[in-house]
Amino acid sequence: MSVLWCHRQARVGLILLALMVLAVFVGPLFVGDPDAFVGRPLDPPSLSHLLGTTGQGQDVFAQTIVGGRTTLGLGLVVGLAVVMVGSVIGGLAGYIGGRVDDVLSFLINVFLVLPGLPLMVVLAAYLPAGPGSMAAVLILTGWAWNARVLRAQVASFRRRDFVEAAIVAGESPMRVLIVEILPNMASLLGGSVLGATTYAVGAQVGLEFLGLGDLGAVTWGTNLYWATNDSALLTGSWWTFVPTGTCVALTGLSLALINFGLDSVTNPALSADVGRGAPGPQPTPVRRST
Amino acid sequence: MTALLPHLVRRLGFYLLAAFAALTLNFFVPRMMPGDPATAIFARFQGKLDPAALDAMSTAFGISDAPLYTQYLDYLLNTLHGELGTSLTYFPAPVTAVIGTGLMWTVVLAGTALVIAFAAGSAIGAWAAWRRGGLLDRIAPPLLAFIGAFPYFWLAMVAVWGLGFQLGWFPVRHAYSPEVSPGWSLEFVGSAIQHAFLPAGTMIVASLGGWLLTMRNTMVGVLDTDAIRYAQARGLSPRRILWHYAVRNAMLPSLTSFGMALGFVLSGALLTEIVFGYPGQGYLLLQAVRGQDYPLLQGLFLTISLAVLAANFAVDVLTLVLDPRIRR
Amino acid sequence: MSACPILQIKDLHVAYGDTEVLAGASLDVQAGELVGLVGESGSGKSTLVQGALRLLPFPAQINGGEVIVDGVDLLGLSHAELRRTWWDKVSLVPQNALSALNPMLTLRAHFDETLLAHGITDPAERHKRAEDGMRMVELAPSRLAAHPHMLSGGMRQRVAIALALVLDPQLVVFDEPTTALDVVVERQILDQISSLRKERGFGAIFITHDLTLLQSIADRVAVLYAGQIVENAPVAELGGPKSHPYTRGLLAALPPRLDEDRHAVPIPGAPPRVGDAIPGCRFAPRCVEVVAACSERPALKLVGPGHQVACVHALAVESS
Repeated sequence: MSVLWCHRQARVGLILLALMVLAVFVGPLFVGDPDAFVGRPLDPPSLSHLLGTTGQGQDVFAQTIVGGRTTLGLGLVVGLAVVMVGSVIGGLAGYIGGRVDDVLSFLINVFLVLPGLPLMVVLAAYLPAGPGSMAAVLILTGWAWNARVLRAQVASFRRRDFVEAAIVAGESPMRVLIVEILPNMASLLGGSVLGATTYAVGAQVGLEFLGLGDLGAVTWGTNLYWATNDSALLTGSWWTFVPTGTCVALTGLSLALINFGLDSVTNPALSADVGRGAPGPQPTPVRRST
Repeated sequence: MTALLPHLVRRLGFYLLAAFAALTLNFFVPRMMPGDPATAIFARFQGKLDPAALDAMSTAFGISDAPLYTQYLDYLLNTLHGELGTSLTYFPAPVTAVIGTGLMWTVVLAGTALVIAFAAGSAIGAWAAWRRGGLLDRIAPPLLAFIGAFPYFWLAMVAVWGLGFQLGWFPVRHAYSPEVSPGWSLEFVGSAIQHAFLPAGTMIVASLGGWLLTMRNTMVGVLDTDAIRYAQARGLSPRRILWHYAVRNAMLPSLTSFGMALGFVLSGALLTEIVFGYPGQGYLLLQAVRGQDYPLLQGLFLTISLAVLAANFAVDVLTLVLDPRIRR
Repeated sequence: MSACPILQIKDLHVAYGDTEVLAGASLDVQAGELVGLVGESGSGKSTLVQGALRLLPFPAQINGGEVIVDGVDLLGLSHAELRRTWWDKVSLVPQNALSALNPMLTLRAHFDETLLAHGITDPAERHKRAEDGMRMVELAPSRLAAHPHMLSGGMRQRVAIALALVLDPQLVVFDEPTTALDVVVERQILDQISSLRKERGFGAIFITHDLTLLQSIADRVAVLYAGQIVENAPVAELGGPKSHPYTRGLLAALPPRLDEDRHAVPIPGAPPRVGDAIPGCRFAPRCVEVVAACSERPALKLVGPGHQVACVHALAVESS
């Protein structure tokens, strides 16, 4: 973690993410009920309502803060779950190899070529609304990508000398996986969780925007759904959809920045401050002190 | 070329198997869904369809009394004959016709946007990596990551509001102006392009960052290899190194991603079409979902799945041809 | 031995950012001689040569010194001028040809592009040179149509040697060319190199961590320790009474041959990490002959004809 902090972009990302998490999990204690009718509908931002009111006269600020709790919370949980499912299946395939690998790889490939968004739309439409269904849909459509990546990594590690040595020495497969292979994949897993969370938040918001989520709940996605429904664009009420959209973007940005940092740690060649903008490989420069 | 044959056959085998799996999944999904497709269809169609078509529909949706495997076989046969049923929302149009209209719009819109985003993104990404540490390399990734982090439809809505309503530069809905009649006239094509501007434009802006970053990272990796050092030591010109060493080696992973994305073109334009009222596959899908139009839904899902598989297969073939390391 | 050096590295300083990895190294190579460059991993062997040729990637930089090839200081050349000098006057044989060759190009393409970059525009001429090159390393010219991954490791190294000689350079740098090969193939490659040297008369720098290799092919050996050249000796003088303690330590650490009556004695301790500042002689912490005077960095002193040692114990003689 300390290494990430040194990376400028990652540091910004971490701070941003921390602020957002703080805002959405602690913030609701300080704002009023987002569902309550507080004033004239479609009122622009003012001192009484920092971000104005929605088409139903609700406080946009409260809705933005409270909405984040479900969206971010579910996003993080689903992100972790997707990586867990993906690592178990991918890990088993990569580690055991042979027939098991053939079957699991086929399964992974089938899920990979299934078109995600339509599948999500269909599933979301037919399952009862609620966070459980949303989580199920997201995990079902998202696990395969991680599984493939992790399978490849585990398979390549499996063939490395130190793993073979451990197996010959009699370590149980479980131990080999957890003690020998897993620590080496820490950054890949970290990056996967970041990516999966980004995907989970984005997909959630997308589905809810289409009206396929729990319309009674207050989430970032439903905020945007209601904003469109109340003709935000036609009335020019930008405050009903700009704050939520920006929050989603800031979440995605923070995760991406942390990911940049993680990329640089695993592959220092990818750091931001390598090179001076010269075209292509240059001869070693000569700098004389006198 | 003959050396490639066993690989090709293997890949083809996988895709046929996957297509089969998609068909099977398509068969079972309506039977697993809550709600009763059977009653819905029966209620709406009784008396309006001839018995043969009604039978086909019943089979597809598990209404008949025949044992499951018979139903399954019938369904497969029907599908292979292109008999996908009749749409409920667009009754009495057959599903194939409805899908047909949507297909062209989606392919043109999403296909164009993808090609432009991929080409522009990869080119800029490659350039950023070539001029490592330069302004472009330092600014582009975080900037485009930020833009790409906005929900796509949000960007679309902002574009609609700003460029469409406020400035009135572009039309904000539909694929072409309602005053123009479809056909290959200049007027129609012009109207279509004008209407495609915002949808395609927002899609490109939103996805540019992803392609840029992928290409940049791949190029950076390639530029770090021994082969580049060795090429430099031999006195090769920077241009030669850029095109034959850097780009050529970085292209393959990018092309694979492009291929997969191409497959998803049929499904990926969903949000765009909804925001802009563009009558493509995605728009139809949402209509089908909302209207409980099971035949249409099933048909759409099938076409999308098959398109994805076909595109993936095409990419596999391309990779086989372009990468000399796979040949033995 | 003629006194016309084809390469003169004088007091080269190389750093990575703020960390100095090569603190003033000097090395000469005479026409036709094979100079071995030996040292442990991380001692700076490749850095010395790649740095001298200005082939080190970012963030390396050269902070001082001169590198004279054919009367011209490489450190003062522009990128374009360097590109003409590279391969034409000095070429390289890499450690691992598989990662150095472009997997997308055929072997013939590698020859063609190298020759084109140096102004050989006639396709027939390029064709001839490529095929002559292959025959020179005892490979069939028909293999030129193959891609790098289709050949065995030994064959690839031979192609790399053929490529290195295609412009008839004065100096060829062999960067651990046989480290990745088994001993049988290694012996074949070394024999190939020896016979080519006799045929073509090029000078060579042979980088390796294997001292025994050099004992059979080198004319002279430079010993590198922690970024400094500690000894530069004719191969016969290595390990002799005037040698540097580190060299003697290296030789003592080698596994004994069947006819030798000794045991391998490793050098205690480990080399300093790159960037560790050590005043005085960098080998002192591990040296069995360390004395108080070792706290000052010893300069390279001439202890015999063509023999330099950087040790406080070395007795300087008049240079002839």
